[in-house]
Amino acid sequence: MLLRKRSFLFTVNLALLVILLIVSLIVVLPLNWDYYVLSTSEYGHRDLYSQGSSWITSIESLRDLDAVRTVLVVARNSPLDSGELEGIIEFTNRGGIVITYGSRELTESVFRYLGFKATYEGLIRDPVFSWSSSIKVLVELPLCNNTIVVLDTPYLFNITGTWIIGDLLYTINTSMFSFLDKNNNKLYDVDELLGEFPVIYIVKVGRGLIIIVCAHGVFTNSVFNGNTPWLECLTNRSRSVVVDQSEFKSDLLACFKLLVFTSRGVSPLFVLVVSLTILVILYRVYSYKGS
Amino acid sequence: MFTPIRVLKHGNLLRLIIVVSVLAGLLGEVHFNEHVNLHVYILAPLAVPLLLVNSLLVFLLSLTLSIIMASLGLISLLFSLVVVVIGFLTLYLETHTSISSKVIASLLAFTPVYIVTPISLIPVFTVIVLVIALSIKEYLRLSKSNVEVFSETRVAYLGELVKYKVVITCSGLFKYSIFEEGKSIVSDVATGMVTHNFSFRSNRLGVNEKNISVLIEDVRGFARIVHGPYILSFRVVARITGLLKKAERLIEKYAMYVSTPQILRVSFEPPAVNWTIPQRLIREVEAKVSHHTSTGYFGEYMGIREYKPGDNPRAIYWKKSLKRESLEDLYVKVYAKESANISSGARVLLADLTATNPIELDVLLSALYGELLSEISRERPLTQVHLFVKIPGEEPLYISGKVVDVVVALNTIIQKHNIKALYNYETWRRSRTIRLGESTGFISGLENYYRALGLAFAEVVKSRVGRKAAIQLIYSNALAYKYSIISQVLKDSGFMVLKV
Repeated sequence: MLLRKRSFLFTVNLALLVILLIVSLIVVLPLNWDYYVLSTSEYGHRDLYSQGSSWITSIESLRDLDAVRTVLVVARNSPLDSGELEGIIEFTNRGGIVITYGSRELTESVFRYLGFKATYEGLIRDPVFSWSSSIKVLVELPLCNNTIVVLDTPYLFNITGTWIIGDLLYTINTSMFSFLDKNNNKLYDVDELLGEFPVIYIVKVGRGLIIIVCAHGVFTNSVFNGNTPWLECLTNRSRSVVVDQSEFKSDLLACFKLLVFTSRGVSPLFVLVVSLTILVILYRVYSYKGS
Repeated sequence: MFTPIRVLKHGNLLRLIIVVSVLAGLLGEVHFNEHVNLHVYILAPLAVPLLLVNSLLVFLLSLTLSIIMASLGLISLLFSLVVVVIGFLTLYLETHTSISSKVIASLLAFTPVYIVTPISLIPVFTVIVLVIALSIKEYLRLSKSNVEVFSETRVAYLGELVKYKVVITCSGLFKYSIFEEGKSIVSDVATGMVTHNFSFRSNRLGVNEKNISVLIEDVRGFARIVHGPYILSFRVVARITGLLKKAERLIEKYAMYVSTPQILRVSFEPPAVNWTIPQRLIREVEAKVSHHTSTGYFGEYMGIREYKPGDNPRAIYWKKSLKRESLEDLYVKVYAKESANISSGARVLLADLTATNPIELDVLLSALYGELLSEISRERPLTQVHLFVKIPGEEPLYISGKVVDVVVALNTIIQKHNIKALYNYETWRRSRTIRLGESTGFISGLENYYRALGLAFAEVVKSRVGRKAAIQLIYSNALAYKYSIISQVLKDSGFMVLKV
């Protein structure tokens, strides 16, 4: 009977340890989702997150943030709905800066909300003024002391209409060597357009700015190192970077990992909880054996 | 196990250092690391129980705290090393039982934490380094230990105890286990020197060997060393060997009296249908029974009794007999020795050599030879002896004659018949108590069968030796039930029964 009791206790505690082990493995194993702050993939935001950024899983939580001291990065594959865009506009009205980039659906939804009809034209490549590959196009910002920005897979939208919300301050173009790769063969063809294309739109909304970047990646891992000067310029040492993760709010695993991880690694609170659980397990096992 | 200890007890300085290190590490981290906020002070209360608990829990708590502290930053990492080292030393200094397995298990149990914060492996590696260092220290101490095995028995009789002594010398406190043929026979803790005396029963004839190994361990389980195996060599001889040599010498001495031994094959055949009715069947196979009369009387004079047919005429007490009115009343002198052989001064022995193991066989044969040779040793080589020998699997043999003749005959039997023990059981004990006459069923049938055997044997003795003979029984413990019944039957038939 005693042996059974002891073996039962041992089994329970061993099971607890195994569960903790599995949880720890889930926490540390990488997720390669695009624009996820813990993703180490090309389009992940791990590098940005490691610089001390924070994240939000709902645009509504922007209300709790000090807009004047925040730069919001909205990068995703899915388009923003009107409710989210309302929240973003409200945030910028209070003095916040919002940068959007990601899929063309996202960019199109932003343009549409601001009063434009946007037509997708194709990918832009620049064989001369580019970074390691013609698809990583360099553009020069007149702001921030002519900082060079690297855009990963930029694309062109033909926009028509008038600004319903805000005023367009700047349009940043690619170099004169860039071309519109309509057939996506990575080469310039005779019938393809060559010249400068607008890829960044800086719109003043209220007291803040919306920076619409027509590119798949800006502060993503693939080009993050090239864009840190721009990020520093935007934050100006007074604003903190918040990354929108509302696209993942329905994913339990993604949310769990977001809760456990901080920008400096695994949360000390998680370490504390796991360690104390193990301590209790060991205490129970040793005290039982001892008695 | 985790009973609180007094705060002012020895060793609390170490506990205090751990608490101070934890607090210093947290304070330093909060002060110098901008990423760490005041929430880390949640760890501070965890350090307080360190002052109140026993050494094992001190180690567990300090390990937990050091692992958490290591994940906070560089300053708390440095202090975490102090915490875990002192926590481990507290456990090491205050414990005198095996802790190595607990330490290793505790380190392994925190694997989930190492996975999420690999930096917490630094205090763990520190503990591992300490464990290795202490293992080397303990191994060096144990390597100076010494073990001596002394054999106190070179030659032993079959079934006799073989004794040996093990002396273990080692500096300081140590744990030891002594193994005999790979099986642990003793395990204990000692300081300095310890001596153990062991014995085991020899049950195989010839040269025997035993492997003795000694395992010496550090009491905390950090190091162990094995001495041996030492080979204990000894020779086991049968008791009967010595008696046979003695028999040889005595027969040589009394060779002039030795005549051709008479060996008869006797069969006691109980009835097949009803065992309660005894029958006797004696089949003379090899030779006729030749009557030998003893030539003298030995022992203390015990008195007189009436003459019975078969009594030696030389024992007639003529003086007494002639005093009687009728000459038909004859009297014979009775001597002490004769009181055991009431009928004719002869000795009657029934030896059943059915044995459950070789040791028992050796004892049975020794007893039989001992009885016979005791007569010759007392300068009575011509004593009349009636020996019934039951060899396993064969019909009983009957030898009658002078004791020297019987010894010679017995030697012949032993040489001719390959007498072996039926089994090789170490022990054979009857766990059921059976009262004679009260048993039923199969046991009752068996009892009747034994009773019939007894009656048949009684008939044989009456016809060959005479009535009221003293019969000495030699049998193994395994046959105690059988011979208790036969013995009872013999007594009921008027015989005196003695068990050798």
